[in-house]
Amino acid sequence: MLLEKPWGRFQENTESTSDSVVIEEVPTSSNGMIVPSLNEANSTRAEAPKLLQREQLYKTWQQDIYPFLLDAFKEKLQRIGEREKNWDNKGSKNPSDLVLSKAHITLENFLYSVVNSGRLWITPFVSTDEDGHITIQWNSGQHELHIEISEEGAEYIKIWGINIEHEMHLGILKRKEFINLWDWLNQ
Amino acid sequence: MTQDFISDGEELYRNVRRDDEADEYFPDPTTGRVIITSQAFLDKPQNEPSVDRAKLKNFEPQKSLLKENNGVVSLIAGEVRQIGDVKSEEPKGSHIDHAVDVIHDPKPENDAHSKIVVEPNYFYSDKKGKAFRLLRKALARLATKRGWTLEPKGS
Repeated sequence: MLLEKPWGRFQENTESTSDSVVIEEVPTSSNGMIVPSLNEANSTRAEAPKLLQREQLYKTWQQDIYPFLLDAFKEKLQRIGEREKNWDNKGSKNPSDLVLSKAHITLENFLYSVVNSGRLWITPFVSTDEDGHITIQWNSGQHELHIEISEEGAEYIKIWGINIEHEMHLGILKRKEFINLWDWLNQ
Repeated sequence: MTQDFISDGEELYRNVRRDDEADEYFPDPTTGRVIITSQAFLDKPQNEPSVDRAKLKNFEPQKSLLKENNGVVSLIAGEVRQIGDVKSEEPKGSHIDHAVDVIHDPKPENDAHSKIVVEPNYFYSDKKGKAFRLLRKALARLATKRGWTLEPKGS
């Protein structure tokens, strides 16, 4: 399962991301997802066992969870990439290599932002639409978050009801908004 | 074969394909409930999703199946119209316009056939160009809320 060690990329992302999130506690979840703190600068000797635990948890995340989730994306995107034109017998286009590549980067960045902030990750539904865009969908309670990735860029749609004018919001997807969108989804 | 008005309380059937690669529904990874996707309401090239009036199918959803192993979901006409309720301001006050409607469109082979239509110009700028996509997402949400009327075989 460990096809890729994300450590290098992780460091790179951490160093290059000015708005990276610092976590004070080690959160655990019912689905076993555990994300360690990255803020170890203020630790003292009394906190050594805790620090050790954090390091262990971090290794778990680094070596198992993150690559596992990445592999799941890759597998899904690979299957979608094999689609041909009219894949749904409704005349829909198949996604281009460029769209697939952008989708991979977007999903990876989104996953990194969410998991690295200590929030629980929900597996999205990934598909393509009639124009060959990659569509990513999460449902949580009354909230739906959709991301649509085209060759031109990525957009998000927040949905909290059926009324197009008053209960749906569209926007351009920006990396600095990932966490805000995720928190909204899980409200 | 006459065309008449569909009342707000009428139930409408929509066939949903069973094929694994059709992506018309999926199980929610956290709750297990079925989630209908907007792909289930994609009807090209008119962008007018077809539905059947349940009462003209004698409330037998299996009569709306396009393939035996598909499923059927239900919508309520009044809820579909609410998708496009837009408040318009006029000098004498405001009123509600229906940018989305359900119209009876009987065919020789299917007297119950109806279509869901949307008028994009009712919406503000960022939604005009996406009105058809947003309509399908809203329809999927309504269908998800009600769940299966007829579950696909083997699902």
